[in-house]
Amino acid sequence: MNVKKIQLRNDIITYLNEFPASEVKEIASHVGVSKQALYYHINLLLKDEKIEVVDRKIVNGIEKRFYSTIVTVDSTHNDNDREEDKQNIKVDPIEDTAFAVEEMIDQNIIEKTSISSPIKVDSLDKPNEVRDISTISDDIPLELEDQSMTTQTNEGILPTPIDLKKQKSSSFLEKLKNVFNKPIGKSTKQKKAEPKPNIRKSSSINRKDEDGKKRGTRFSGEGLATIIENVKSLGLFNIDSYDTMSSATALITSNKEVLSFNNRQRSNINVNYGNINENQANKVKRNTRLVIVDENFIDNHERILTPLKKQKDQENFVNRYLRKKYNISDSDLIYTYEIFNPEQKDMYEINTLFSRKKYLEDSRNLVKDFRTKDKLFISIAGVFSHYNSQLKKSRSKNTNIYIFMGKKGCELTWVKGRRILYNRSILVSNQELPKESYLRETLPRVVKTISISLNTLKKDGLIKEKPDKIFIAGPNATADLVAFFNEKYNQNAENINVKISNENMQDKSTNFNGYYDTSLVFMESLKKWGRFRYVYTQKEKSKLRKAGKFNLINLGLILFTVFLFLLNIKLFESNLIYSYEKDLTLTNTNLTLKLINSIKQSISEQQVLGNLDQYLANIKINKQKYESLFSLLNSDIFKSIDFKSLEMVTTSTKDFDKKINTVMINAEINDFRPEAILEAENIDVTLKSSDFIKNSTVEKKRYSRGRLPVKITFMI
Amino acid sequence: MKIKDPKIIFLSLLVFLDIVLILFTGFNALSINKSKNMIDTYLNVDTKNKQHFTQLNEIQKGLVGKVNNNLSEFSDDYIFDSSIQAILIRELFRKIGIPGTDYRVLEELTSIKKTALGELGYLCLEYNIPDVTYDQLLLILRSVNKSEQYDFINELQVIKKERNNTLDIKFSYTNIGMFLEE
Repeated sequence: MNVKKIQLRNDIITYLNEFPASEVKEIASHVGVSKQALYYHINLLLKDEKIEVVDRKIVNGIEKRFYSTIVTVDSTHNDNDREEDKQNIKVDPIEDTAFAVEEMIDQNIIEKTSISSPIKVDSLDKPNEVRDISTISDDIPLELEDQSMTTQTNEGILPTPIDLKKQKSSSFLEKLKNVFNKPIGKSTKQKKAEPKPNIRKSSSINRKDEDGKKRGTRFSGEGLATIIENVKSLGLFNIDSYDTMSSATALITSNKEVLSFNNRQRSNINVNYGNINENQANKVKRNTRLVIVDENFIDNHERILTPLKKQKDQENFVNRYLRKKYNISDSDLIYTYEIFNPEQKDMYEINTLFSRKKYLEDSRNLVKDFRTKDKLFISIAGVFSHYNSQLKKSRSKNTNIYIFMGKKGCELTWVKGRRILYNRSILVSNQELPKESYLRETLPRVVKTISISLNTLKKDGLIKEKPDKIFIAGPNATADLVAFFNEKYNQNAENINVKISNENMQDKSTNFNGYYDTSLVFMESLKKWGRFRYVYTQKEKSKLRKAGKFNLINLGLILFTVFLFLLNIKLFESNLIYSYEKDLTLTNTNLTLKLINSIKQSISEQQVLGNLDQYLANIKINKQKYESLFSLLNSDIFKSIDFKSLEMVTTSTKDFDKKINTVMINAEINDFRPEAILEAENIDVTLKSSDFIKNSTVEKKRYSRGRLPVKITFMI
Repeated sequence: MKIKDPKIIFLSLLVFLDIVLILFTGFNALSINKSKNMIDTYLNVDTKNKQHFTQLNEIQKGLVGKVNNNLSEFSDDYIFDSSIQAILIRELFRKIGIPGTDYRVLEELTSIKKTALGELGYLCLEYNIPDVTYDQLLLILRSVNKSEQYDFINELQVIKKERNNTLDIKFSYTNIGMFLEE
């Protein structure tokens, strides 16, 4: 058992020595055990510090780890060899490159090949066509067309061995020799042997900074970062995504074959290759935006400074400027531009890409079968701008060089953030070249173009020293090239072609003439479509942007409407509740009022009954008053009175107040005059002093014949 | 951008919908505010009414506790029209030895008050009795006073006759009682 385990671990280490930065799945498929079983051994090897985690990548919230063996100073013989190789192929400074190339040509090191057409660099004309040189060649500031570089080589003839005597003066050539002598057209597995860290595209996008440090501990905010990344990837904040919520790309290869794929489809990328047939075209939905990238499409780049602020003025100015400078007719000129703010105050940089309409028509004809509504044309330079804008913020601000290594030529673009600083197309042949021939023809030109462009950009103050990074993509982008640029510019070069880990996909990729992983780069670049940047033509782009704005406004309004709708539901609900509460309170108030009225009525009735009772009591009392009156009349007070008449009136029956009786007595006092008068006065005083009697008066009349008539009135 | 652009049409629809929803929101908000104010007012009024009700309840309790003795006695007294009432009075006078006399209806049966117990009414009859002795006068008065019914003499006029030392009396007799319900 132990022997088997040791054997298995040795296999893992051997595999990782050959294929550094591999994930468990790949190791498992190689050593022939399950992934689960392998984790145990991987952990043991990690603990023993035989291997290390060299990279981590979050895919759909799951962390993928990439393992390599730990390289020690005296680890293997191979490492020593590599070190020696590195010393031998010391990279020449950039300035020497031109000389080196010329020297190379002079010494016939790079043999004449069967490139049939003359090599035209930085031209708007296509290699297959009779070029109208007068249109551009003279005015283009960075014309790289160098007839000395226009060489004829015979395809299939391998480069001659490097003369040992010349080795000293051309270490670059040695490097080239190394590059060219390496076998090309490897199998998928052989491809894996190329240094992995330089191949994996994903290291540029979505990957943490490459600081070379070991990452033994998990980043604490990784989970949060993953969530943010996933939310970002939904494209919710990208106004273009509301157009169709998806976009597809049609990549037209140098052989005019079309690859189409969905830009935002995360898994099972459905790449179609070959001539477009109806079924294939129908796979792209009508509402999907189709982004067309034509490898054969050539455009030029120009930075124009202007104080013009209005878009219309800018468009007119650009149109006039390009027509005059490059002698292109108005009907033939197509352009697209982006506005950037240069260092100068109150100035605008019109960063424009322009071309000829006929080239776009070619692309248009090739994708005419696609029934999509919106077809957006973008050049490779524009695609790189999109790619660069998706890099980590700290990296996207850097000035990076993108080199697209096509089948018949290459494209070199300097990008800073979203801004294209420099762009040149280098056409090598009008036929597809074998990889070695291609590299032999292309590399010197690339090197020279970099040198020239660097000088130009330095002169314009757009760059101080050198590019921060060199990204290589395209069907001819290889690990060797990465190594070459790393050596040449002492730079962190990177192949951004997407690494194909899925075996099925690897098999599939062989069917696409090397364009499969390139198409993935385009997919990565265009999955987050940003404001239709550098899309041809300017008018169509403006229209799309306007539509995008409308979509965004519509989305905002939809959200606002939904918010209002929900708010209204809530308010309506509250309104109903308050209305019900109001009715309830009103009912309660009315009920209380009714109770008050009822109790008032009850009180009133009680009061009426009480009054009535009092009324009856008054009647009773009044009855007693009659008896009291006659007792009074028979009392000593009136003993000297001779009554003549008596009248007594009681208050009205309807009067409920106490009964008052008014008594009027007509009488005579029979006595002598003074005594009679005294008696009358005496009666008056007595009556007035009585509590029983009120308002008493004794009215004396004229005394005659011993009689004093008196009228006595009082109330009882 | 053409006016027929579906995006603009959709935008217009959304704007229209939003305006309607904003108006509806405003209407709802105003309605809620109004309802809230009404509820506050009603609650305020109701609180004061309930305080008033409590006080009235106290008053009512006091009134309910009061015993109306006279009323309870009176509830069985009924009053009839003048002719029947005159017969009853005549019988009353006859008991005390005063012969029947003529009478005059001063007020026919009249309602005084409607109460929970029934309708209260009265009638008033005037009697003129000549040559009555003082004792007879006192008897009349006492008989009225002693009557269990709530009747009384409204007006009394007594004139002394010097000739035979008798009295001419004139009085109006009022009867109070409950109306007999038909």
